Amino acid sequence: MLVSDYFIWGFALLVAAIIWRQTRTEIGKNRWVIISQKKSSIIAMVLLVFFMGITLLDSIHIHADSINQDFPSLLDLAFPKAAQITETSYSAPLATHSYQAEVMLTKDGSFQSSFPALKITHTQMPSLLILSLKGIAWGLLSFALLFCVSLLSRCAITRQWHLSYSDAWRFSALVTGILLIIGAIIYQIAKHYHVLGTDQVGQDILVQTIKSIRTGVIIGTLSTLSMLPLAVVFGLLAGYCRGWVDDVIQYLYTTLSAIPGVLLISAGILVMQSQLQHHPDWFHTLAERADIRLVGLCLILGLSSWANLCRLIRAETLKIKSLDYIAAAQLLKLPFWRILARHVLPNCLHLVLITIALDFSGLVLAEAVLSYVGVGVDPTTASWGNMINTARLEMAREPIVWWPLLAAMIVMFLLVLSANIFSDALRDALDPRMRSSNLANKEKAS
Amino acid sequence: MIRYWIRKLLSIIPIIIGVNLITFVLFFMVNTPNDMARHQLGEKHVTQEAIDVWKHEHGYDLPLLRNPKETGFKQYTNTLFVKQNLSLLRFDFGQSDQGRSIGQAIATRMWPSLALAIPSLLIGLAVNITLALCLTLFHHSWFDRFGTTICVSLMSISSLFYIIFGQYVFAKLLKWAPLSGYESGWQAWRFLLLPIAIAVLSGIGSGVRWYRSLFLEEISKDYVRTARAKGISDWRILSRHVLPNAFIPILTGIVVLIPMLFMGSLIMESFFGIPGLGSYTIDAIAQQDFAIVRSMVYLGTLTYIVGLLLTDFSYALADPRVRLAGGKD
Amino acid sequence: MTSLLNIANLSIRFNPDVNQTDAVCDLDLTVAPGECVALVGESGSGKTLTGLSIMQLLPPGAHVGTHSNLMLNDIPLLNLKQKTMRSHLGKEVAMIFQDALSAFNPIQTLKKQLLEMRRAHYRESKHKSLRIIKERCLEVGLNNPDDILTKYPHELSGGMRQRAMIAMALVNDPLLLIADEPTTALDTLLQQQIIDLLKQCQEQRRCAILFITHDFHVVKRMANRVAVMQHGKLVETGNIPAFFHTASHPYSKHLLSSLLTLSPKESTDASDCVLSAHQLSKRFGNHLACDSISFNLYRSKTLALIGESGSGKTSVARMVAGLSTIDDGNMCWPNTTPSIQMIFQDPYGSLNPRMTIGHILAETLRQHQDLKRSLAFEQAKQHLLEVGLPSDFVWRYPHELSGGQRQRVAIARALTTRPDILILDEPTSALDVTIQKHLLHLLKDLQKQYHMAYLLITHDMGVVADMADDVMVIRHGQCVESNTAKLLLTQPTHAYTQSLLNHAI
Repeated sequence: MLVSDYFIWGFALLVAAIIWRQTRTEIGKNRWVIISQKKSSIIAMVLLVFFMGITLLDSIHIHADSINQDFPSLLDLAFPKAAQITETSYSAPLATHSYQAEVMLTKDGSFQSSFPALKITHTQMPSLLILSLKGIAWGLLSFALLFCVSLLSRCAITRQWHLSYSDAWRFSALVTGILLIIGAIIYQIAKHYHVLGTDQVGQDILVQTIKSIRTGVIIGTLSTLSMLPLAVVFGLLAGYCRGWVDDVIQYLYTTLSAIPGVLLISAGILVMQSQLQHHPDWFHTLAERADIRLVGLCLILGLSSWANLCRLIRAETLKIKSLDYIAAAQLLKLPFWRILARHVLPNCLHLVLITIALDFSGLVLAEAVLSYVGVGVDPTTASWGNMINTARLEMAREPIVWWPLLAAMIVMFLLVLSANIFSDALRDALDPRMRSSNLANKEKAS
Repeated sequence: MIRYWIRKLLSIIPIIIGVNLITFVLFFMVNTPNDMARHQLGEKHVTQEAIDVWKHEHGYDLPLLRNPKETGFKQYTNTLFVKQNLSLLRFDFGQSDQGRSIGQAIATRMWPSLALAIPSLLIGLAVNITLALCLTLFHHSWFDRFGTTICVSLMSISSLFYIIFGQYVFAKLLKWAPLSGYESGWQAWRFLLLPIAIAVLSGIGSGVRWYRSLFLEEISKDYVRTARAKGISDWRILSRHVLPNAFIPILTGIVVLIPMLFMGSLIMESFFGIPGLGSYTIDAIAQQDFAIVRSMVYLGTLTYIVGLLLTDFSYALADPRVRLAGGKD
Repeated sequence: MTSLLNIANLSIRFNPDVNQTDAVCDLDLTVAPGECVALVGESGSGKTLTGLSIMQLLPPGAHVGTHSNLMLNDIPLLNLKQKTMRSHLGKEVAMIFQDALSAFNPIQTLKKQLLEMRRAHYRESKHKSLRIIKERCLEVGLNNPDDILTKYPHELSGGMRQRAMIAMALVNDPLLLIADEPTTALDTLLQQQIIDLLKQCQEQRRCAILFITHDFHVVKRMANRVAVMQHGKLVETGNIPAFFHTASHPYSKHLLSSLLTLSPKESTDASDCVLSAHQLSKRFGNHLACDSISFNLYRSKTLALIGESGSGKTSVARMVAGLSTIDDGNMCWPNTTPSIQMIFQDPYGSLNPRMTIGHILAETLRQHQDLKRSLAFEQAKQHLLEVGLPSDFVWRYPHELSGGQRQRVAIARALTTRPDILILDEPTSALDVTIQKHLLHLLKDLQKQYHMAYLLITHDMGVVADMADDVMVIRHGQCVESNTAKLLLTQPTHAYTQSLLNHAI
């Protein structure tokens, strides 16, 4: 297991625990109802669960043979064998022949420029229609399996046999079913074709795109996680203690904000790189090295962007401090740290969650830009930034090679869009301003 | 009022010193002057003498933060850090590690950056605010819902995609504008057309959403209810009451964009081959030229601080509650 | 006489609705020309919604039922086209709101805002419009219209702002004025002035007023008729002043009986002093919030500090509690250091919304008595029973409780430390009249039981009469009069005290 694997599994378990606790309380259930009111947020949530599932699957690494330096994950093993066949060079999606003409020796001994057949093709290529039908069948089967499993587990937990499902659950089941069917169709087709074509070195684009999901999700989550401790602690202290503590912390984050972000990140990456060069004993394989670089990038991204959340928490702490229940706690002689931890912090958490959700999409997009500047992830790591970078030059080719770029763009768009829609729904559910302003309107109105 | 501004100006100095210190430390953690000399001299086997000569030429032979050779106060002042800072304060940027004058480069490259950034900012602002006003006017209708969905989608597309797509369609296919490059003087507009259009387009998604949420927040306030009770039309309410009040928080949003004026949109300048300060910085990072990076960070900090001061100042102008109370506290 | 305003079958429903009942249900009300009708009810009664519906200013999500009918001067107001509706708003019917500061646009001068009211309905020369708004300003008692009109809303005092809002409503000589709790946020003396002003407007202009309020003192002064609402339904109407004697509906009678009178309570025996304050002073910048306030607190006795907002009484309370530093003067106590707790004014801000009631109480119990968690919970249940709440409230969150219930929890929390002194900072001013009476009763019982000294901060003479043994009147930070409650209420010596008493009758 790689370092980042532990992080992402820890994060996923943490989120699951938070959701589990939320569903126990009345307020939590209300929030879920608000979030699942709109169909778009249900679709977004299901998509995010899918993406997270792929990431987690891709984060269980099995120690492989050190001969060919391979470090496959469960996801790698799940890919159909055909997808791992490497061609010589470009090929269009669902093509049977190479994209570029090559000079080949024909049967009668002359040289001719033609499109050679791909390695993946063989004599009996099944039609796409049959493959799609097979896919639908498999999809329905797996959906039925999933449905039974969840039904049984829910019965076991709640010990009821008569279950009613709300509209939201039904709709999310529908969406999950559709996604499973689409996934199964793609899987069936991928057994015989390169669904999204191949790139310059002949690697399947679909495989690359799906592997990049893990990189994107890790960057989105880990970076925000690494900024949380600093931002929260400093924000709380600055808002509550005022005086010189407040001044020092304000000075710190103003100074940090004044430095252009790209430079901070570049400097951090370069430092990390030189450290890695001087300590080759920290890792054994190229994969581990690339992984440490990924984790390092996340930490640096987090450390350079805590100023924003700190400012927000400080403002919120100032507001909370003037409320009566803090004065009551002070009168009751509760210790300082307890007031901060039990009374101030829980009332700031909505800001933290909203910031995490909002920053997620920003960070995923930023990764692409950072790769362009040269301070992104390791070139051997599969990431959309790397794909876009190489694709940029391919746009100039004649005839144009458009599929790597489009594949990366579309999948990245889906992830970022789902995150944006979900964070909007989360904000509607969590922001007490919105809720309390509605309540206040109702109170005032009567 | 004056005392408030003087206090504000004084508080800036520690920030500038802090920023310079951090950049200084960060960069010298990456590269010691010896490494820098080796990198710039380029050859495989350079003698220690050549390194020392190079260091002396570029002023890197002084110790970094503390000079043990001197005594007393001079221990700290006769160091690299102080000398560089002093020259920066005089706006004397010195020479790049490759020997070219930085000050001159900044002076020439400033204009293309501004020519790209200012129109993008202004046109973007106008477009975003107008669209946001339209969406607010039709709040609770299908138009608003449709509009916000489109905004979220536009916002989820990477800016790289806008650039690549824009370049491909408009420059390569339709040939409406040149792909990249730049020409100084008034002819530059041909080369700026596409980058500005793409900058505005890629900013519509998040910009319209942000301004729309500001306007909606203002609309829920009591004075809008009073205005409705007077019998004024919705459009008048938006333009005469909501928009001026919303300008106060809009100003905070704008100040964040001001540092972009000088740093240039790094990506835009790179993709479109515009010789501005942004591409200057990117190249410097790639070449690990510390002198240029140091100067650009200093410049970036200055513009950020100017932006902060301008926000406070414009708050005082726009909000009579602040103006009459004598500055924000 | 044909009625000016005729409301028939008014129903207002929220969509989506949490409660599944109408916020306003089948309301029938008429207002004759030149008549002042008071619409009275507690929070949740639907009175403000009724007022807003006449102006078509309902909050988003609220809809008027299809069978409702609203007629103003024989013009049906519902289902009008937007433009036609707008031509009536501000002209035939105008509204004044509770909080004048937020009702005005903060970045426009008053001149601009008043002119806008005039020019939205009349096309005339600017000179003429200006003359008219100056006339209105003089009419409402703003004696320097040239100067005042150039100012921004936040530059005026609360009273002047409210007058400006009335001036703005009167600009177009409306036939009906809807006043939504215009005096609730004001101090006692200012309330009186605004009520007198509105009465003057009604009489001189023959303007009908629909006065929405929860305060019966105001009703007594202002109204010709009163309509009582409960849970969205009109419960009873009656003429003033006969209504106060002849009210027949049980709810009306309940409301009237909850009104506090000015008869002082029976005196209690002398007891020992727990705290002595000498010459307490507090300064904020250049402003002297309180100046040399001295008093003694005795066990089982209540000292009331009465004054208007800004008089400094809250500063005194915070100094005694230890929440603010004392700039001048000192406090001393004869025996051990007294433990002091405080009940705050706003029930919605005094409990941490993220903790259950049980946690809130258990936290303080464990802090002071080092108990185990389960034991602390059991004790918390006991404390809840003490303040009259069921013990299963320990599992509830504050947002599930009403304002009165939250104040009881706050009292329970304060009692966990068995304080010697309990400071009550306007404990009932945010609560409904009926709840107020119960809460004061509870406080008196607890005082008898635990022999606590009470320092009561209030602006309401009725509360003083109900609770206090000794009274101190504070104005602009200084003590104006100080005496036993009995003497002060029956024979006040200072003019200010007299005016405070006048309003409460």
